[in-house]
Amino acid sequence: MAIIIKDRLEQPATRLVPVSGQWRGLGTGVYTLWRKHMKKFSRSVMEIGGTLFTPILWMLLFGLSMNGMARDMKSLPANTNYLAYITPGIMLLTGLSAAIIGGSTLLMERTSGVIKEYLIAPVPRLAVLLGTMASGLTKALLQSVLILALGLLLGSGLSWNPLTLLAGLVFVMIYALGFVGVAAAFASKSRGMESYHALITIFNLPLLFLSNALYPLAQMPAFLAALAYLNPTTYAVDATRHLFYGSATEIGLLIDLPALLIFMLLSVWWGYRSFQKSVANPAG
Amino acid sequence: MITSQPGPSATFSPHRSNAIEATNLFKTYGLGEKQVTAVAGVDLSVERGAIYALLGPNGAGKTTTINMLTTLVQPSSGTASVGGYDVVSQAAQVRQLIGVTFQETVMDKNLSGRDALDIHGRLYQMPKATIKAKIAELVRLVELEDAIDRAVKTYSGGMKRRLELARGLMTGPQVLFLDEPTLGLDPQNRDRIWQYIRQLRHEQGLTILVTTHYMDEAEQLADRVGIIDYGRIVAEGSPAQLIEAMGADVVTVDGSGATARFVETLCQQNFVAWAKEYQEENQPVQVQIGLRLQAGRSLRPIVELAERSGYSIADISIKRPSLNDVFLKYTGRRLRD
Repeated sequence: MAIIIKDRLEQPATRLVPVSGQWRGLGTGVYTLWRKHMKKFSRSVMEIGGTLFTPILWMLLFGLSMNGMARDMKSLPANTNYLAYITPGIMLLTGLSAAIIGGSTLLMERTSGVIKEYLIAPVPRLAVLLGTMASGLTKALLQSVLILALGLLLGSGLSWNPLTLLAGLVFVMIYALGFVGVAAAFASKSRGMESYHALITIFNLPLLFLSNALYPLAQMPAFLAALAYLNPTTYAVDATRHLFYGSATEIGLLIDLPALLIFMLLSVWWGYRSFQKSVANPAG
Repeated sequence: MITSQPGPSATFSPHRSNAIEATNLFKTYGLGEKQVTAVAGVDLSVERGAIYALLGPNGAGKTTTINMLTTLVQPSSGTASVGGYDVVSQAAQVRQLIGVTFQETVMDKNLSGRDALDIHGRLYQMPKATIKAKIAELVRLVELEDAIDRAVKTYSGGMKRRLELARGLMTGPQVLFLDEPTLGLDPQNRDRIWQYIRQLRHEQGLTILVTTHYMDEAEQLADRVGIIDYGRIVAEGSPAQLIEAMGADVVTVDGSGATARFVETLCQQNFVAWAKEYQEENQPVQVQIGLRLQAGRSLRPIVELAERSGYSIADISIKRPSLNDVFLKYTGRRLRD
């Protein structure tokens, strides 16, 4: 059967963006879905444990054992121990993992059909994306703060200025939101859980090693340093290391902030576009 | 609830009287060579308060039709309205009016039944007190009092289906879409689901569009039945009308030989309403004959005609026609559970 018909549906879903009067529906939708995902998260020991296990191991094994060895690392900022040096990187990577695992709810709901319940509810489709993103971001922030607290327990210290602490968290948030966007894009495109989970493995270690998370940029070979400059983690580490632990910056907040903002906006846009395409034809 | 938006208790648009209308509905997926036509010109009208059963084999276009009527996907062409509201341009109104139960179970396993209903009510912006009252009412209806606070993963298939039905009813819909609500359930649970559906129609005058594989269900419960095949409705009517049109009795003949000639000769006889040959995989050829008269008097002429046409009969059986035979006649296939 080859009946050729002009398919109106190839246009983006028309209802995705709320028209006036639908804003209340958007708010309700985002809040309801955020609340649902957080409820599921709080009941899922696997999700919390799975995200936190690796970074805690990093902190305990790598951080503590390297602490003594790295004490005479010349480029380590004065008054900073190695634990404080690596905590920002591990904290950010935890946020990244949490964002990506959190994004898998979108994939699961899409492939299992749960998303249909939302799509025919009288809430804008954008609410489905924003609710998922909001919960992903919340999970990422919660777990990042946990790592920060763990570092403190292990002796990393912390600069107790509320303003810099807050500013540091804003950086963590921008960074995590960027990966929430990446997660939404992959969750909208992936066909199944396997390919999606490969994502975490692909991202995690390269983003950790190809950055200044474990060693200063100045000590990296030139081509690795060049790659590190393409990695948003580098900028987030630079900023949070300075804000949380008072270390001198290698790049500077004035470059870190716009670089991260650009990364965040681009990936959120990418996530939005991919989501839009995926719900235009949810049954296809 | 005072709101300018149509609330969960929104009413039908006054312009039309039918609860569901569809005109020449098409849905194609993919482009170019890979294009698949899932629905190829469905016309449908369902009166208010009626139970309409859409019967068809897998892949016939039942689910796609429901997806379009429930605003989940947009039609490629054609128009459809629910409660008088267009499913594309007035999707928001349609959504306020309908309840849907999807074919596959779409429930979060780790949440409780109560959570699922609560989230649904919140998505429809129902006030908290209303949600609470509605949950209590529906849990009684579908008899899940003991299980409602347990995680859905502990539910049996029948319980999940009942929970889904309750969710479809949460928002007080006027039109209910049920996609295979009893698929894979044991007879006891099937009966229960249908009992609720009857009760709802009786008490609240709900309009219900249901797809099903089970002929007996459609025969007993639906006011109207539409048989859908290859994306088109090939026959429609009340179960009684459809069966009546089959003739008084249906005779099935197994055998071999000049089948085509035999069928041709049969069609020329006065006592024969229709005759058709079927062959299913790995099965001998069968000829089905719809009779205008009681079968008793026609058997002898049938046997004689077979001999004259060079068709040798191996087996012959007579039965009162059922919806199954109607289905076989229009689609050339049997509907298997």
